[in-house]
Amino acid sequence: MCQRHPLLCFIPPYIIEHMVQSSHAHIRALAIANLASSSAFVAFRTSAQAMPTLLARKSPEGGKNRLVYDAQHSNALPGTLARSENQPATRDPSVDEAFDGSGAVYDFYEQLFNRNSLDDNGMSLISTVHVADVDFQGEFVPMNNAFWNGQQMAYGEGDGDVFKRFTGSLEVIGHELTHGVQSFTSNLNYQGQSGALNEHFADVFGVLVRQWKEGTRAEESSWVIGRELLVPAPTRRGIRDMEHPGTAYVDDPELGNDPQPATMAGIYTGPKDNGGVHINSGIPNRAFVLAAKALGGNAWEVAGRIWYETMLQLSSTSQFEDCARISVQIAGAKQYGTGARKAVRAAWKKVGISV
Amino acid sequence: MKVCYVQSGGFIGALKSCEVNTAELGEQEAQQLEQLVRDSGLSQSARLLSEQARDLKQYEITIEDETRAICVEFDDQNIPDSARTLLGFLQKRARAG
Repeated sequence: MCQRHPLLCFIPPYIIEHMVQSSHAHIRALAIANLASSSAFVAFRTSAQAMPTLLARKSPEGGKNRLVYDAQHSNALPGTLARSENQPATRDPSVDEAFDGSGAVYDFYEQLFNRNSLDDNGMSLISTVHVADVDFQGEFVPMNNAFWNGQQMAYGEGDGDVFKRFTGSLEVIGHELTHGVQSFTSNLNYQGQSGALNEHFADVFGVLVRQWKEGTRAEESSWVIGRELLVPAPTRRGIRDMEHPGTAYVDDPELGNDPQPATMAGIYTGPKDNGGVHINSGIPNRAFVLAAKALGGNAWEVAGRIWYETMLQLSSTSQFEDCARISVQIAGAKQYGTGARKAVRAAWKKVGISV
Repeated sequence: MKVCYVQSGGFIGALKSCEVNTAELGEQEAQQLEQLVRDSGLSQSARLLSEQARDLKQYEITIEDETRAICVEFDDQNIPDSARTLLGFLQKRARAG
């Protein structure tokens, strides 16, 4: 049975202890150095979990402050500073897309929700591009991923066969930064249904940033996530389809079949992917699209605001039903009009959640 | 010896997996896998996942032989250096699903 301890990370202690016995002098030295630093690391990590604001690097002016670093095809974060606020474009598409994209996300949250950055206190937006993975021979290879590490965003270049630059998709940038917003708000546990809600809100505000930037209404908009980061093929349209979960890729030689369920009847209950955080997000994703299309107009104006208020009110252990109940309550406020409550409740009912 | 591998998570969220059994491999590949498992230093079950990071890829490696059955899970920020070669061996064989 696998055991979990939240403070165990990087090289596990039993491996380090094994390495201390190594016949290779440099491995012994590294292991001993790692053991020596581990107690300090654990202390830092404990504090950081209790107080995420410790990790926030405040903007010097208190407003929008973007810092884009270049990992130079390594996995070292943050890397070398490539562009900062008020500096001109660099001609490196990855750097400039991360800069412009994080600016669009900042503006989205600031203009629509009066939110000053991820922490609502002017936190600098730090991105690193050209991040690489290490392959089994110890060589750096392009990373097929984008992630939020708790302090900053990291973007891979993609392998060129299946994936392109992850900065090429604005909703990917919005998605990763929304993970940051959540770490300062609901801080939904990244496991099971609460984790799937964490992924859901990241997809919702990721796609809304794109719709807001392009000025597209809910009825005419695409709800496919990550179309731009895929090398086109007949077997794939995107990474996820919020409107039709489970259909973004079918029989794809590299990706297989989109595993997302569209309703509670298909909910994944296994252990993979932290209990299906990227799988079960399809259920609330579809509920959001149904609500947004029923409400009509610009999705960021009514549906987006209801979902933003919901995200702020959820707790770290909230489940799908909690999200549904709170969103319906919020939709009942006068400012959203007479039909909003009914539309949101009907949307959740269609995916199998009655509140 | 049987080694099972499952990759999940990442922004993509797609699943990849494989199962490699030394009884079904050629002699040379079977010896290579046994050596990679020894070199990996993976000797007991553990779960090594970042608490604050989001969208990291996750890896689950299960090793079964006559004397033990262990399951080790880790993510991109917690890959044991000693297990990278074994991870690469399994990734090359993993298929979607």
